[in-house]
Amino acid sequence: MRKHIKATLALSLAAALLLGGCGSGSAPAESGQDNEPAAVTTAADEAARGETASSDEKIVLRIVGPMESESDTTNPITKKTLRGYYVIKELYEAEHPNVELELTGIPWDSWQAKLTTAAAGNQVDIVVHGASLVDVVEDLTPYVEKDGDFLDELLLKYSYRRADKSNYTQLVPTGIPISAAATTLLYDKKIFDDYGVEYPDETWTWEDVLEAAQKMTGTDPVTGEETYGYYIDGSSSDWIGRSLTGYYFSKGTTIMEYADVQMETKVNYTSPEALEGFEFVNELAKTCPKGFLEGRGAENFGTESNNIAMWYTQDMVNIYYKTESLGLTDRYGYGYSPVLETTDGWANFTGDWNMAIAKNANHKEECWEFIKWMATNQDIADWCWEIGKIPNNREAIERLTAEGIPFADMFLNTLAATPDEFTIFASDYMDSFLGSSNAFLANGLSAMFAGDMTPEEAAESIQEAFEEQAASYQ
Amino acid sequence: MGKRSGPGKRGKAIYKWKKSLVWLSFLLPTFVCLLVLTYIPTFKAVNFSFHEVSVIGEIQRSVGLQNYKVMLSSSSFRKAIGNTLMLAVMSLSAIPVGFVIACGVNSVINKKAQTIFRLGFYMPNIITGVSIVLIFQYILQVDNGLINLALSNLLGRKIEIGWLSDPSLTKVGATIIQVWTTLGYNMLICLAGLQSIPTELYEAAMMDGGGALHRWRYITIPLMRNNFIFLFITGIINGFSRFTDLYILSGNSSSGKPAGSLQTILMYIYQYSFENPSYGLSCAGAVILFVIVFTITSINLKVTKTI
Repeated sequence: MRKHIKATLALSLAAALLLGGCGSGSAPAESGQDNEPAAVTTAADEAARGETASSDEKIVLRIVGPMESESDTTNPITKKTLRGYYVIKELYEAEHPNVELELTGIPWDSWQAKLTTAAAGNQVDIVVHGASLVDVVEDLTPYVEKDGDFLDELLLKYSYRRADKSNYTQLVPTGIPISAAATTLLYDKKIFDDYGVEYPDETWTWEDVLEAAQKMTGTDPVTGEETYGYYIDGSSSDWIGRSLTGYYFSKGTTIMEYADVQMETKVNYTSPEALEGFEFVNELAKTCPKGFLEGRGAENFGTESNNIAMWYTQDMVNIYYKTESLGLTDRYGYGYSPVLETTDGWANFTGDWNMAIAKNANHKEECWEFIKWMATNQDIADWCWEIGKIPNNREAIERLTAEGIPFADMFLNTLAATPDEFTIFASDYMDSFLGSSNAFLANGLSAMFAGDMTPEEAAESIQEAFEEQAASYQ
Repeated sequence: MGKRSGPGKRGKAIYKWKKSLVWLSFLLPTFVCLLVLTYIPTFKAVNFSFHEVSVIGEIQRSVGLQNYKVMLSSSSFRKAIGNTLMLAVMSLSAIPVGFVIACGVNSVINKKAQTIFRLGFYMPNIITGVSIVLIFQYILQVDNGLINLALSNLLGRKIEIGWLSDPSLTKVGATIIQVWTTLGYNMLICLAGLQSIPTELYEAAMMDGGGALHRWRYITIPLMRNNFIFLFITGIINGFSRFTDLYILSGNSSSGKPAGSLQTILMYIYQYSFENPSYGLSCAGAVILFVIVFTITSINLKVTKTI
């Protein structure tokens, strides 16, 4: 009988351990190991790990991240059919019969949380838009050094991040941009005309933007409708933050004081120059519609009944599609971001939709091949444009420019003026990897916009949040 | 030959064990599930709280009580604790409102009509939280929101209250949503309590000349005590574990925007788990949350003498 009991208990324990094993993470890593750039995994390495497929077996690449719909959808405004991301699989597998792609799209909500968990759990080979997830993606330097000639075909070469917390001044490429974006000052020519204000040009500063926004906030002298000079998307922490960092970028106001190690990096939001930014955006916010902090007010932008004069956004392709479908292409203009006052160029935030290789990926060489293909394939470039992304590819942009896209010149000039190793998210003006930067900025700024804090109080609260973050690292 | 050491007793013991094995085998799946899905992760979380962990599952180094020290000295974390407590207490207003409605529904004599009221009030409870928040974002919006429009019509001037955008009022806005969501459940529990009160007590009171208000004050409310305690405890626990609606109200972020006024402990933990991965800190926060909930529940049970 005892044997039975022992057997039962042993079975239970075995089952528990087995199931428990499923839930546990990988083996403990040594301190600092994560941050060492991984060497390119060679075919020989993979063979040694038993991961290389035999000639008959297909190599499976698991691609996970925020992507548009898997199946075809119809744009409700333009009525255009947008092909799903199955296009990637069809095209790539046709050209690479030995590879099978497993694509899993996730929504943008909490995408970082989902991707980090999936990548840490060895569920992903290619992390879509994963450049910022520095703990779980590869430093691409060895890949670029070995096979980076194709980067000359791209407008933005890399997605740079401060990936090494013990060498924090160094930027490393952690992703390759498939599509690119530049922040633009979209404007409604009709509202400008009604108020008799000149359209923005490439010489505009932030003060010009504010002056125009203030003039156009009130009752439209022609239509008698209420209009607002400017719009900040208050539903997005990111865009609330950018309303301030855009100003700093333009003025050359240094906020970050980088140290060799992340934990010693400091921020300075309370300097007189930094405070000027708070006061400025507080004035700008007064020209926004009432519901902007709730993410409302710009629903009609791009339509006949719009009442917003200017919107600082990256969503120019979708606005363009919208105006095109409504026959309002001529009504809306695509202005340069405010000019940089200390160097050449415009205060834009180059963004991208990038691809990165997971540290735990199988078949890393194949992953690199896939990313190269994504960045340079012209059919993929066309698909990107179709779904509202601007392909990060010179040949594709030249083709699109020939089609008379109204913002093509502004986009190309802006990207050309962007230094090679520049990313706003790890610049002198902000660092989105130093804790929850966007959340800190959004909290202080939204309280200031709502009238609950003065600019000084907002600056101090943001400074305090960053200092607490630094203390937690120490 | 020595005296046998009681084979009868041993036989009985074996028989008992055999019988026990039957119910043990029924318990086994539950036990394994609890062990794997609850206890092991719980112990892992406690273990993580004493370590630096930036990628889940990968312990980098032991930091002792440092994570707890960081958490407790953080003004944002203390603010999150305050927000959580405040929101949990404010959400308890659903209990008296639910009780008053239950009294009204209970007084409806027609059973069919009572069922319609019961269903009507309970309906919000079965609507998904996300849908409720999306609907209330329109109801509570600053310009042309239903509540502000109603107030404007009532007061004869334009009212633009930022229920969801003014940091000093967002908790009120969030509580309106929570009360509306849980009202049906509170009403149903109170109604069940009301219907279990023996009618003889009311009849006796009436014979003694007790008025309606006296009967309500001295019979209904004291006999509803256990229902109120139950709703209070579950309300507090639910208040502490509130996340989804506040996350959506904060613009799908755990920042508790605006001004961190809606950031609860859970959202703070989420922030350090996923948006800014530092699992050691987030696990320390989770342990602190457990201690707070455990303490409040124990005090509550002790005070109300239900243990």
